[in-house]
Amino acid sequence: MTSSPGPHPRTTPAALPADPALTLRGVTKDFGKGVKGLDDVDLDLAQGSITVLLGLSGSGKSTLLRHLNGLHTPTHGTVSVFGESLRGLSGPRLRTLRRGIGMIFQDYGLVGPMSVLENVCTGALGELRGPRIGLLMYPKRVRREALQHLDRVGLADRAHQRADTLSGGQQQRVAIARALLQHPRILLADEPVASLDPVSAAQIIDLLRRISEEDGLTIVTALHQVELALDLADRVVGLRSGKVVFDRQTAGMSARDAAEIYESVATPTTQELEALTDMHSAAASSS
Amino acid sequence: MSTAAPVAPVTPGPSTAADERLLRPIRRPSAGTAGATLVMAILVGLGVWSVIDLGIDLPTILGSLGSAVAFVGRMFPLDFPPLPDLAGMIAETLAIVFLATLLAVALSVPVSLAAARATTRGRITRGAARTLIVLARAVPDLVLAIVLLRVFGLGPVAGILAMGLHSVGMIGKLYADAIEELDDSPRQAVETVGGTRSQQIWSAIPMALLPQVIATGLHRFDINLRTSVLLGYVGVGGIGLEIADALRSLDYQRGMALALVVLALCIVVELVSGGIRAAILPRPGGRSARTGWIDRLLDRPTARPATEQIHAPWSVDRFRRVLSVAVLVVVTAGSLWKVDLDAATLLGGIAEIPSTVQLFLPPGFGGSAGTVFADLLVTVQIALAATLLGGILALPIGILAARNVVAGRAVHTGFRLLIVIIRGIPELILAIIFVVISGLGGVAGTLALALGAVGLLSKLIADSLEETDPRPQEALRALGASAPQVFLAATLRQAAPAVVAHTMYLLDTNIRSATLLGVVGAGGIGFLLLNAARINQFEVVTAIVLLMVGVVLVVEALSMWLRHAVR
Repeated sequence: MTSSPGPHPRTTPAALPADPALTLRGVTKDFGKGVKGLDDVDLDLAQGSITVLLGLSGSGKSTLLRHLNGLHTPTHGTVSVFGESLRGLSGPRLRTLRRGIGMIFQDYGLVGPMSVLENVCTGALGELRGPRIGLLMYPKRVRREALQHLDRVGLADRAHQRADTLSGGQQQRVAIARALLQHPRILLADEPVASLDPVSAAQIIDLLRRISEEDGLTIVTALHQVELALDLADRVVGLRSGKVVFDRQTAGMSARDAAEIYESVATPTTQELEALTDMHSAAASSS
Repeated sequence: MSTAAPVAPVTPGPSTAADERLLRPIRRPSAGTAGATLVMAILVGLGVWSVIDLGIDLPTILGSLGSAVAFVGRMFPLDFPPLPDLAGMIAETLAIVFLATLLAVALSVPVSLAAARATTRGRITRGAARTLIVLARAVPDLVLAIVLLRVFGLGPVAGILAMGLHSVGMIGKLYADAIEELDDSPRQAVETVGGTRSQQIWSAIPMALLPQVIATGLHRFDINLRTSVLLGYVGVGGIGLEIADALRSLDYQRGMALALVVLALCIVVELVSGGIRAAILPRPGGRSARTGWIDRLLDRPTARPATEQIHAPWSVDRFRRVLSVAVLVVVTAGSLWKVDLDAATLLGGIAEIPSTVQLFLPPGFGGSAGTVFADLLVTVQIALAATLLGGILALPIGILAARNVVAGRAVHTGFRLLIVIIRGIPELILAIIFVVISGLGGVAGTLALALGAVGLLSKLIADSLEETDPRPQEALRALGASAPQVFLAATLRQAAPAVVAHTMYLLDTNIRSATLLGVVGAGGIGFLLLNAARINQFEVVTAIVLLMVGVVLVVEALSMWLRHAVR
C-alpha cells in the first residue's frame, strides 16, 4: 500500500484549480498468473476535464475505467473519487457512489426487448428503492426527466420503440441519456464509438463534448482512434501493458507529438524495438 | 441504420416532443402482443380452473400423505429379481430402445433433407416432409404400439417400430432445423466448382451435421428409454412389462424394486449420453491437434515424403472414429439378436398391415361418445393444471439455479443438482406412485406431470437466465442499481420471452404425456384408449386418436404462435 491521501489531498494546489475529481495512487491490478491489468498507476484527473485513455486492446484502458467506479478493486493502491477512497466500500455506500458516476460501454448495455424510455429510466435505479419492471413502475417525475434527456440526445420520438430496433449510434445516445439521468459529476466511457460507423462516431464524440461543456462533467473515456482522441481530449494518457507510457495536455500539441503518440499506441507490444526505430525514422523523415 | 442527421441541439428545457402523453407506455397496436397477453391470461385462468375442478387442494395432498406412508410400508422389503433375469430385462429394454432410436435416425435423415429449405427438391416435397414430421409427432407412440402389436403380435418388434416412427417427429424436425442453420457457403463452394445438386448436399452437409445427428439421437435415446417402460404396459417386452405385471398383481415390493432399477438406468444413460454429447459437440475455440500415445503407436514415421501420403495418418481422431463405427455395428448386431428380429417376421407383419388397418376404420364411438369427450376434457385439464403448478414451482427453482443470479456457489450448484435428480425420475414412475398414493384419477396424473414439469422447466429457465446478455447487467450495476433491481430490470426482462416459450412448449408436451399416463390409471383419456384396444373396439381407438391429434395440433399451433408473438 502506498501512503493513502487524506480526505483533502491538496498536495499540488498550484497545479490544479480545484481538488481533482479522480485520484489514483500506486494502483496495481493483478489478475493472477502474473497477468497485470494495471501496474503502479498514479493519476490526478481535474474536475471538468476530458481525459482520453489511449492504448491497444489489452493495454489496461477498460481495467482502469472499471477501477474508477469500483467494478474492479485494485490489488494494491487507492482510487479516490472527490477525495473519498473507494477501498472497502461495498453495498449501499458503493451504490451511492456509483450513482454519481455515469458509465457508457462499447456495446451500449441496453436491455434489448425493453423500450427506449424504460432503458433510460433504469438510470434512476440508484436513487429509487426496490426492483422494478415495466415503465409504469417508475415515478412520473423520473419518466418526465428521462424523456427530456432523450430529447437532449435527439431521440424523444423513439421513446416507445424497443431498444434493439435502433441503430448502434442511436443506442449509444440512449445509453448517454440513461447516464445523464443519474445527474453524474463524472462520466466514464469505455470505447463508446468502437462499434460505430464514422458518422455516428463523430456524433457521439460531439455529444460528449457538449455535455462536458454544458454540465461541467468530468469525462474519462477509452478510445483507440488517435484522431478522435486528439479532437475530444484536454489530456491524453497512453497505456501499455497496464503502465502509463505518456501523459500530455493536448493544448498546443504539435503534429510531431501527435505522430509520436500514434506510433506509441498503434504498434504491437511484441515489437517494441522495431516500433521505436520506425518512430525515429518517421520523425527524421518528417523534419 | 444510422442517420446522418446532426444531433439535436443539446439544450435542456421544455420540448415539444416531451409532452405528457409520451410518459405512459404506448401500446402500439401490435395486435400480436396484445393478443398474446390475452391468450396467456386465459391460459392461466384455465389452469386455475383445472386445478380447482380436478380437486387438487392442500387438504387432498396432505390427506394422501397418510397413504404415502402406508405405501412406503408396503414397498419394503424391495424384491429384486435374480441378477441374470434382471440383466436380461435390462438388455432387452436397451436393445429395444437402441434399435428404435437407430431406426428413427435412419428415417429422419432423408425426411429432414426433404424438409429443409436448403436441400429440398421443391415446395411440394418440402410440404410433404413437413407434414410427415408433424403427423409422426402428433400420433403418440403408445397408439402406434397398440396398432402394431395387433400386426406383429406381443413382443419387441411393435415397440421398436412404434417408437422409431414416432421419434421421427422430433428428430426429423431438429435435423431439418439444424440443416437450415448450417453455414451455406460450403455448399455454394461446391456449386461454384460445378457440382450437381446431390454432390453439393453430400459433400457439404453430412460432416457438418454429424455432431448434431449424434447428439439429437442420444437425446431421443433418453426419452425412448422412459417411453419403453410405458410400452411395457401394453405388451412390448423389457423391464416395463415386468413392472406392469408386478403392479397388476399388487406386488409393490417387486414393482418398486424394478422402478428403482429403471430410475438408475435412466440416470446412468443420461450421464453417459451427456458425456458423449459434450465430447462431440463443437466447442468454442475448437480443438487443437493433439499427439497422444495412440499417435505414437499407430502413426509410425514412414519413409515416404509428405507429398505421397495419400492416406490420413492413424491419429487419435481417426482411431476414435473407426472405434465408434465398430462399436455401433457390434451394438446393432447384438440388439437385433437380443430382440430376435428377423426379416420373415418383419415381412409377414407388413403383409398383414392392410387387413389390420381395416379393423380400425371407420372411426366410431361405439355408443360412448359422452365418456370420450368427458375424458378428453380431463386430459386437457390435467395438462393445464400440471403446467401451471409446475411453472409456479419451477420459477423460483430455476432462478436459484442460475449461475448469474445467485452469488453463492453452493446455492446454484445445489439447485442444479436438485433439478438433475427430479429430471432423472421418469414421469411414468411418478404416475404409478401417485396413483397408488392418491388413488386412480386426475390428481395422480397432475401431480406426476407437475413434478416432471418442474424438472424440465426449471432447467430451461436457469439456462435462459444464464444465456442473457451480461452487458446491460453490468451497465446497471455501474449506475448504482442493487442486485434485485439488476435482476428484474435486466436479467429477467431479457429472459422473459424464452420463459414464456418454454412454458408453452411444456404445455405442448404435457398434453401428450397426459394421454399416455392415463394408461396407468392416472386419469384422462388414455385409460379409455387402452380399454378400447383390449376389448377390440378398434373404431373407438381411431376416434380417440383423431381427437387427440386434433387437440395436440391446436395446442401446438397456439404455442408456436405465442412463442413467435412474445419475442
